[in-house]
Amino acid sequence: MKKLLNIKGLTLTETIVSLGVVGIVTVPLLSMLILCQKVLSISENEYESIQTAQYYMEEIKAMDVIDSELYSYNAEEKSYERIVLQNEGKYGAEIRIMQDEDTVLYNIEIDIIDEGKIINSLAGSVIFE
Amino acid sequence: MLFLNKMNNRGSVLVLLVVVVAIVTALGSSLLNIVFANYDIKRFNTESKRAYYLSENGLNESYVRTRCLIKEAIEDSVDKTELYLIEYPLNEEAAKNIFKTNYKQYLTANIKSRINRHGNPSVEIRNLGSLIFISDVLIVSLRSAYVLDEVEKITWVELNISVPEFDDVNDEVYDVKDYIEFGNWNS
Repeated sequence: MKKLLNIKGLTLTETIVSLGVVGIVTVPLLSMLILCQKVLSISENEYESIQTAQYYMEEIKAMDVIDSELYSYNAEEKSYERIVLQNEGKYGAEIRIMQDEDTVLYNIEIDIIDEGKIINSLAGSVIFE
Repeated sequence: MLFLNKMNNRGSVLVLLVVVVAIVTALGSSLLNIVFANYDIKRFNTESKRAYYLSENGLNESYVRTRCLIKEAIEDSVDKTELYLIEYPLNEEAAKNIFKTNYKQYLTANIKSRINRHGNPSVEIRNLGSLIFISDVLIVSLRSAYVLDEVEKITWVELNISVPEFDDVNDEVYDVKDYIEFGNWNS
């Protein structure tokens, strides 16, 4: 019975070796988790920003004429422009609508801005009679 | 009892540790795969949207080019009708028919060269074999494709082109936009 209960604890060597192995494996695992977090964040930004760009694009396409309250005319660039300032939890945007020569076709350029940097863009066109 | 004595616990922690580390590594690499797959999906979504709007741009450009063609067809038909009227000033009904016929011929003869494009976006007429005016309306079915990296987005639309009246054109009380309209947008 004494022999049966004589279960020795971990030796110092075993503990040190275990901790060493755990350390070796944990460091790359942690960096992998950090990488995962970064990639997830980039993916989220990618999705949110293109959704925002699409929102502005569809807003323009739904207009019968260019809304002069939202879009101001820049005579130098010969384009209608709108700047949306960045708010908390909302991206900023720079939107330009340019007439294609003297036709009814207007080209649209949308840049989505986060902390002063363009993080996504969308281009398209619309017909205004 | 003898068997238990022989099977002591020495080294069992290491075995357990290796098993745990293997499981955690497998879970970690699966997580990494899922995260990168998620990123690829988001990128694809972005490129798909970009390609869609640029493909639509091809249809809008075709609409503008077709408007120009309609204007040319009207001008050409007016010239020919006026020449006829100089020769036969009393034959107004025949002149109107000449106007309509010439307008239709001019459009059907030139629409392919004016619309079909092989660039990016590429635009083509789908019903090229059946470009006929039915009840004075020509339906032109367009297909525009835009390729962006590995994404190809295709959009379709129908252009309904109608025939103006010679009197309206002659009196210059017409607008080209009245003779063309979009129908059946698809993507």
